[in-house]
Amino acid sequence: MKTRTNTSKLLAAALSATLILGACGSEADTASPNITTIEVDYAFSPDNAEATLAFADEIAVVRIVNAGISSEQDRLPVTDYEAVVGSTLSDNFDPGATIMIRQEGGIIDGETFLIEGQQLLQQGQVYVLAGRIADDGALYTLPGVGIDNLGTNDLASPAALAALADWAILGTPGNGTLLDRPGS
Amino acid sequence: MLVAVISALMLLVGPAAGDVSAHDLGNDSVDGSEIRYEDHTSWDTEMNHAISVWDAQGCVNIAHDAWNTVTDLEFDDYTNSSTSTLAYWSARTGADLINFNNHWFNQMSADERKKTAIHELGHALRFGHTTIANSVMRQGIIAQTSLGAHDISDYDSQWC
Repeated sequence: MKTRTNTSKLLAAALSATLILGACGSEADTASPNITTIEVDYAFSPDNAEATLAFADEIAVVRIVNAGISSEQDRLPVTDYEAVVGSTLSDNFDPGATIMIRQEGGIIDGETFLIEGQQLLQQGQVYVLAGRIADDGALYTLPGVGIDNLGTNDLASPAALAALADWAILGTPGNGTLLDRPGS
Repeated sequence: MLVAVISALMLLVGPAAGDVSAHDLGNDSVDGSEIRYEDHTSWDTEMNHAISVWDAQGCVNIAHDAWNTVTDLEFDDYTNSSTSTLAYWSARTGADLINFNNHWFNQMSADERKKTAIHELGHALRFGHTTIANSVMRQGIIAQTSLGAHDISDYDSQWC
């Protein structure tokens, strides 16, 4: 942060809260993660399922099998995860195959970089992911509706099959680059 | 005690929602009422237009880095056809970064690129996304080359 705007208000509030908590016998939590939010402008709204499907190459049900490895690509933190494929819409990956999932955001030198509104994928969790297939074969995730945590580790759960079916109702991946132009 | 805690929180929140605090990022690239930038992007027309639009508001000086100044912000570009990201602003140790995605910029009209550049520089000025009509801080591919009334109001509230 390069500005000192509102610092005096912050200090006053922090001092008040500290004094109040001290009087109550509570300990203030001094441990806080170092998180930087990256502000992104998207070609289409992350909430737009039709546009997401049109831009995607694949919709896949996967289970993340490792904690992910973060690096910088194009000066942007990204994280690569290994994942096992359950099922897909467009058969770009075989069921049971281990593939690479790439997500924007990650942890670099102890600092967590998150794309606004996004959370990093979690090891052991099953997701329905919309993504583009990168040159190295990784599935590059799309944000918003493109990342759906099913809250399970069962690749063949009813929820997983139903989520894939919901995408199929909208159509097939890659049916054109549908650009969301509000106001046009 | 509850009243005291609420009072402390109200002191922190400040003005009611609906003004600039409603989409205040809580972070920016401004250092001592100015932003000193380095230019590493090929999208100079768009970058310079964005700088002129915001600089014209008069309370934050946006100027090229000089030998005797510290760089607050870099403009750069990259190419990635796998992402729906048009561009992004990232706070970093050292200079912050605005990075334009050539894959999308090459498909956009001149006015759509200018809007994106103004938008990203808006993030560097502490403004978050909004859905308010005519604001440059709306997301998406939009042809717009000037600030909306709400953008100017936010700028005046934040910086003047």
